[in-house]
Amino acid sequence: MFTNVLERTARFGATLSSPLPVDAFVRLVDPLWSSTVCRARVTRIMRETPDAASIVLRPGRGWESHQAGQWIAVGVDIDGVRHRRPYSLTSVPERVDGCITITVQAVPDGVVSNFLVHQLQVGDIVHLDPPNGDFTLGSHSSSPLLFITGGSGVTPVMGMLRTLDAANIALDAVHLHYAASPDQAIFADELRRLAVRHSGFGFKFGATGTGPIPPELALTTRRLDALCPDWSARETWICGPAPLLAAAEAIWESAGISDQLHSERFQPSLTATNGTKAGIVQFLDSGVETPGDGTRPLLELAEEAGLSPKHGCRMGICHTCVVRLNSGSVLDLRDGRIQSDEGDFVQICVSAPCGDVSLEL
Amino acid sequence: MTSTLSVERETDHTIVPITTLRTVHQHPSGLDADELEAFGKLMDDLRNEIISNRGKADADYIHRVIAVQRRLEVAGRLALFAGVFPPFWVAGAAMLSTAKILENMEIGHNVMHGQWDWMRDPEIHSSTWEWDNVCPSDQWKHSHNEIHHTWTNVIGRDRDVGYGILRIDERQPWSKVALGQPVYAAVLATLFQWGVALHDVEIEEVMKGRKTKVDAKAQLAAIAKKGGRQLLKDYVLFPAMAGPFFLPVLAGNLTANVVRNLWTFSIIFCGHFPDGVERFTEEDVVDESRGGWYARQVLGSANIEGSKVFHILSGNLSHQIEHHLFPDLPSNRYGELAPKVRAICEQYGIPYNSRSFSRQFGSVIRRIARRALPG
Repeated sequence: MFTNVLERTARFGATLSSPLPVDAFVRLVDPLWSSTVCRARVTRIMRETPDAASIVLRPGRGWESHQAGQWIAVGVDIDGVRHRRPYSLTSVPERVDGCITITVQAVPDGVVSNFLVHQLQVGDIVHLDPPNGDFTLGSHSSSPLLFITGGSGVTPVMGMLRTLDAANIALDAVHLHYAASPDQAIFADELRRLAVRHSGFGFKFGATGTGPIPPELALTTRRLDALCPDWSARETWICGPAPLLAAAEAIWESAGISDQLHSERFQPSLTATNGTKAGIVQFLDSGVETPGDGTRPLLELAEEAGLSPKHGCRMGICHTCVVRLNSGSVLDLRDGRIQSDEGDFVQICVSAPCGDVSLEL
Repeated sequence: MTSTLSVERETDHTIVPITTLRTVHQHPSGLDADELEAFGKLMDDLRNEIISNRGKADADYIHRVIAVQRRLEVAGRLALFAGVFPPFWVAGAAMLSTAKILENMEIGHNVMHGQWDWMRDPEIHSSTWEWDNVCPSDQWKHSHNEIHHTWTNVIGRDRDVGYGILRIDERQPWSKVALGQPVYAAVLATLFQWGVALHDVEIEEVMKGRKTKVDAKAQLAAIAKKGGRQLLKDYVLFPAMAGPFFLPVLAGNLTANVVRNLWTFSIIFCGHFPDGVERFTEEDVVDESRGGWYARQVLGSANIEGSKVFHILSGNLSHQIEHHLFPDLPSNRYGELAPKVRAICEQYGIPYNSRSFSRQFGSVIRRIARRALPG
């Protein structure tokens, strides 16, 4: 009965506000009241290292709680343009104050990470997608655990450890953490304090410097034996740069216990390429692939591959043909602009693929 | 000759590749291929300049216009609830009229052109925007963005030349039906949103058998659905919410819709029909280069001079020339482009048509009246 009334009220409201959603007006009062798009207000920014910050967010309506280890895509407007990037949640799920925390490491040339760490202000509004990812402890909370992290790969693991700690679970865990230098090591102090409070938690830190990892610090069976003799008996979570993951995967595979290794890869960074580059174009919705030489528009390539995408002017003025970019880069043949962000809308009649590209078409 | 033309029409959009430059036909601007290429290059440079520096200030602008428009709409509707008191009714109707004008012109029309797509905000995007008008957005984007903006003022291709009911050019055939066109124009102006909605159904194409009835019926169904919702909102639900004071609300909403219709009609007719604006034949656009397309946009459009508020209320279509050159650049930048475009046009001897509203609109009225008669 009550839900019926609510539904009718919502329908009535939607007709009054049509063709816009009711949200378009509700947002004028408070952007967090939107129910179709989840937004959050920045309530606190804590500097973790010179290049990393934890950002406390108060999500508005539409937020669903997360599991420790998951990430969210955060959308921010930088110089007028919406950017979305995934960041691990470092807060305990379902906090009493309803807030969540992400921890961001500013990477060189990273537009979004530098904005979040150095320019974001308390009170700013960001956009959130629902929590995502299966890098979670699942049913292993009370198993013997091993965590291996590199750089900002510590963030999902910090979320897990805080959650175990808050649940008063007696930790049986070892954490091997790599960072370039001690002052670059996010959460090192908190992890050391955790090791003091939990006799079953061991924290080992290795400073790798900025270049390639020194041989004596590299992840090898021998080093694992030295730091955590029963490593092969532990469920292991690893998050960090690709070489670290590759080393671990090889070790666990040769030990025949790959199923005990849970890994989280950093999103590959999509770097804009300049100039023409051949590659494979994937049209995801139609399941068609076709080669591109980097000089001809995507619309022509699609048509030659037997598709008939919606289009109009074929000269970049009418925007009938826009399609969402899933991955890769495209080149605007009119002015040489590159688009390379997931979710970018591409005018396929005037855009050529730049290397491998996949489109929601 | 006639059969060749109709074959061409059936091959749909035969747009010439951007790079091709051939002068088979004299371009209406009188420029040769090299001059057109140079002119096009200068226009491309202007476009790239805006693209390279559009940013937060532009995003702030459209966010502000949207916020003002929504507040005006809410305030206007609230004031109309107290519309039994004349000052409230006048204020309410004025605010709601302004809100509807802003929504259709500076926001809806321009968002649907993709002017704000670069912000990557899914809520202010050409693929998602639905405007406060009985015309469904997808039909508008076809008839306007695709047909009108590609084939600007080409008789027989651009269906905006007279909208299929008015005779604008002496080259359009005359019949006795044209005698009544001052009346048709007045009716069209009053009911403009319905004219806009029915425009893409292309009833004359259906009658000529060039478009299927099934396609036209599907479009009519979409118009009926959206139009029904618009009517329900403005003429049933909001008045009903006022209870015994439903009449002032109904009258206020009707006034707002009519004011918006008259305003949009006037601005849009001033864009392409004043004296001095050229119309073209299909031969004019054979093998047209990008530079030629640019030059045709200038020849086929007219600007209206006015204050900053006037420009915003016109959706910056007062800068119709700049809008036709760069339909997907943010409208708030047309004003700064206008003097630059004008200087380049003067350099190339391309007429740049810019006059006051009264002069442009006066010449439109005279044209509609004159073409009601033969010749």
